[in-house]
Amino acid sequence: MEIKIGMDGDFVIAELSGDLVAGTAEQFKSQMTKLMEKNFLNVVLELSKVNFMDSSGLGACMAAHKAFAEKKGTLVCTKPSETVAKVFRVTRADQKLNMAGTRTEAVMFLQNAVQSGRQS
Amino acid sequence: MKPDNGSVSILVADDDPLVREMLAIILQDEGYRVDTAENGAEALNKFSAGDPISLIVSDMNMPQLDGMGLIRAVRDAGADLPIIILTGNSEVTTAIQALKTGASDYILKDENIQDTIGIAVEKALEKHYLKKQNQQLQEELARKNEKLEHEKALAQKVQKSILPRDLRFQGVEVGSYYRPSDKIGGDFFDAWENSDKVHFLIGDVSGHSTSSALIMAVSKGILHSLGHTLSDPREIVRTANRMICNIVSDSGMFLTLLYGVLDRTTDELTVVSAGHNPVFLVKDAEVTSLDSTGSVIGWDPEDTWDATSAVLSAGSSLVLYTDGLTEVKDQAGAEFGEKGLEALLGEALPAGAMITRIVQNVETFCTGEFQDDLTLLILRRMPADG
Repeated sequence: MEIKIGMDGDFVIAELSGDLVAGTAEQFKSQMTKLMEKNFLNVVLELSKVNFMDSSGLGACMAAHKAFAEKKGTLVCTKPSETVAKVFRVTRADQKLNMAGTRTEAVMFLQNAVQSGRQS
Repeated sequence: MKPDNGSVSILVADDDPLVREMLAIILQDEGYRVDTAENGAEALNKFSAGDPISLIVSDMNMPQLDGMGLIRAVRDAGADLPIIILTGNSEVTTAIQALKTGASDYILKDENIQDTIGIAVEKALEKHYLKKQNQQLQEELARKNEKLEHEKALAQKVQKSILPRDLRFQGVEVGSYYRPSDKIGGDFFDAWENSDKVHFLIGDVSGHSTSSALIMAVSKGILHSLGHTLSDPREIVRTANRMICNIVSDSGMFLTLLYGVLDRTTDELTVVSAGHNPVFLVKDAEVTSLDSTGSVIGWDPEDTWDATSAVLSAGSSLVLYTDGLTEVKDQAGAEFGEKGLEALLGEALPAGAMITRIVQNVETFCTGEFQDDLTLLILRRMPADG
């Protein structure tokens, strides 16, 4: 699995490609932990190039979602591939995770989250 | 890590007293402990007597036993201590022969020997200790691996033993199949009678770690006791989720679960599916799928679930499975899929025969290459007098 990290303004765009499964979930988790350690707490996770996601991969996404929220950050998943979308749908992860249809929508979601965070 | 020079004993064997003494002084100056021998035979005696020797520096041509003989004798005794050969300019071929026989290095007896001997000894010791360290690490790793394999085998045995066998209920025929993968798994199933009701469940904990196995065992226990005190599957799943959320905390771990209750007086089936893959109801060759009715278990203690109702009339079957069955792949990488399973269900068969049919088809499809646990549970409603 490959994780490409880029920036869009103040936000991190993490683009995953390959399989997010038991063997690669640790790599994903450690990359997310590194972002949090460097105080990058608003992250877009692009999933269009993820071919396969097993239960460990899904667990890792959910753990990352909770970890960012814990630190008052936000993780937004966008453009899940068909396989990933199905896993999200069956497990209802799509109702637990922050989902956005496009990268632009994801960035807008983060802007709103940051804004309301400042106001509260 | 190379030990201090003071704890390293070097044996210098040379029949030329001048060379012998000179090398001893140089090496002592470097801080090594040095012993000497006049020829190969004396050196071998000292070695055989068990003198603590960390390294041998030996001349090639010596009376009684030459350098080559000494190397052979030491290596034949199974010792792997470094041996450095001293050789003249004209004897390079002999030196190469010595390396092939088991010497670690050779240095030329020339005017630079004062400098080269120290470097050669240090290099040989460094290499030797690295080799030893590597060997120890490998042995340690092999021991740890063996222990892990042993524990995994034990965990698999325990897991298998906590799954029920020979499930028999009045009016309901039950068939089950459990095939663990070579990793620690988290599949489980259970069924029991509670007055007119038959409770049944199938679950799959995420991951293949020891934690998965622990959560599987704990979840099975929680569900079993809740199922004996509560009757509404929505309530059972909701309560179990609260308890399991406490255990998995924010790890992201979760389990998919299908919990069902069959009322034998009315044939009414009530099913809650917590993110579990669709299961199939087979009635008169017609196959209907019962889909997930809520989130997986372990993510949010406030989650609630809906239930699906259906009728399991005489002769109908309910086919439950974990994704280890539908996610097997053929050699081209294509999945067996829910469609593959559904296609096998059209014929009314007893539960056991249906299980055999499915398992055989899946095995042929994936040529026996299973990546995940595979669990199947089939309940077939028998006629009232069955």
